Amino acid sequence: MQPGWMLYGFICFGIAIVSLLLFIKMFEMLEKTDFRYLTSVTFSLFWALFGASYLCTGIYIAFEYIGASDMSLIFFYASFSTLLMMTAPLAYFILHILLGDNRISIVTSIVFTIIGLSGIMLLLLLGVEGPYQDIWVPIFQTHDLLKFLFIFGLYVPSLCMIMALLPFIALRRSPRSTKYKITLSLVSLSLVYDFILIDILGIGGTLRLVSTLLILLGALLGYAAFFPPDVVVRSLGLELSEFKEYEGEDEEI
Amino acid sequence: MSIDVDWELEVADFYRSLGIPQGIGDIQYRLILLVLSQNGIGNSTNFSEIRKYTDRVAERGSIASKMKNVIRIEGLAKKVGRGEYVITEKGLLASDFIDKSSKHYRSVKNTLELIERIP
Repeated sequence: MQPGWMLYGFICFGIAIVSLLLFIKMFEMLEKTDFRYLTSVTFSLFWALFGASYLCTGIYIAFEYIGASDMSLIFFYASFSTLLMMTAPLAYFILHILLGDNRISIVTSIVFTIIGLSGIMLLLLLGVEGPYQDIWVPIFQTHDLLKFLFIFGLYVPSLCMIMALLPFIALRRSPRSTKYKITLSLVSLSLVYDFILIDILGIGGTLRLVSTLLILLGALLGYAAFFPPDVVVRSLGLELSEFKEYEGEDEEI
Repeated sequence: MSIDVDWELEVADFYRSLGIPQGIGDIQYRLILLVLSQNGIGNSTNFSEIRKYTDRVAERGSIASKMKNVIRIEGLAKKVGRGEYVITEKGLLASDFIDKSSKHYRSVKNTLELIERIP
């Protein structure tokens, strides 16, 4: 039992709360008549899976903390499985924004679902080793084949898709609020995906703690992208000023 | 390279909506120069060939007037016979600008659609 586990567990619960809150708030805003309905659904589903994964991570650490190793293992499986599945909605979200083609986005999403399901099967077939007692987190080591599948089947394609979207936004003149929302949500997705790799590879020590803190930052940025706090709105001037048409006399020529 | 009149109309409408009614925002100007540049600098273009594309968007007289008062007066094309025109180097520059304006519109359109799809 390590005192650092509690801190790490709280960070995981923090990530889960922020992500699930983002999912719930986005889900409440959904309108079936909106043509962006499916992109909104997949984006909120991504955050739901991500939040659920970190909720399970927090629970598995808590069970390990109280010595219930069997329950801990079950929640580790649940956590890892949801991580494997979250690329599928993300692929639809990004490809639909990039290409605007529903069929390509759905097919790609199905491909990532198959890869995710294969990963879950591999996880169940090959099992895990551990838990190893790290200062911050009890670490379960997955099979190398599963790590390979995650990196090349899910991680690299996801990062490529996220990076592909950035130039469209960065190189264009658009209202500050639009740039803020899009850039921040892409940065948050990028942060989340970048540092999940440390979790997947089962790296421990301070690097694991810092990377999880950065994932928390990513989740917070994701939330702030769609629901910016008043302070941010005021300081960055995100509010669109509405000017009324002047109806008096024109200037004398 | 074939000329898509519907596409050219869409592009001209876009530039006209930006307050550019002449040049790249004028469908007649666009079509005339595109037809002339299609035949190249050494080859003449028949007026009927131009009208194949412009008949949908403007009357014969309107096109003839545009040929006389804009295209020829600015030295974008020369009249080399009855109803025969040849594009000049300056005219090729103008048609190049028309191509660039189409590319710019396509990129703006794609980006605007992309942003619209973001929840």
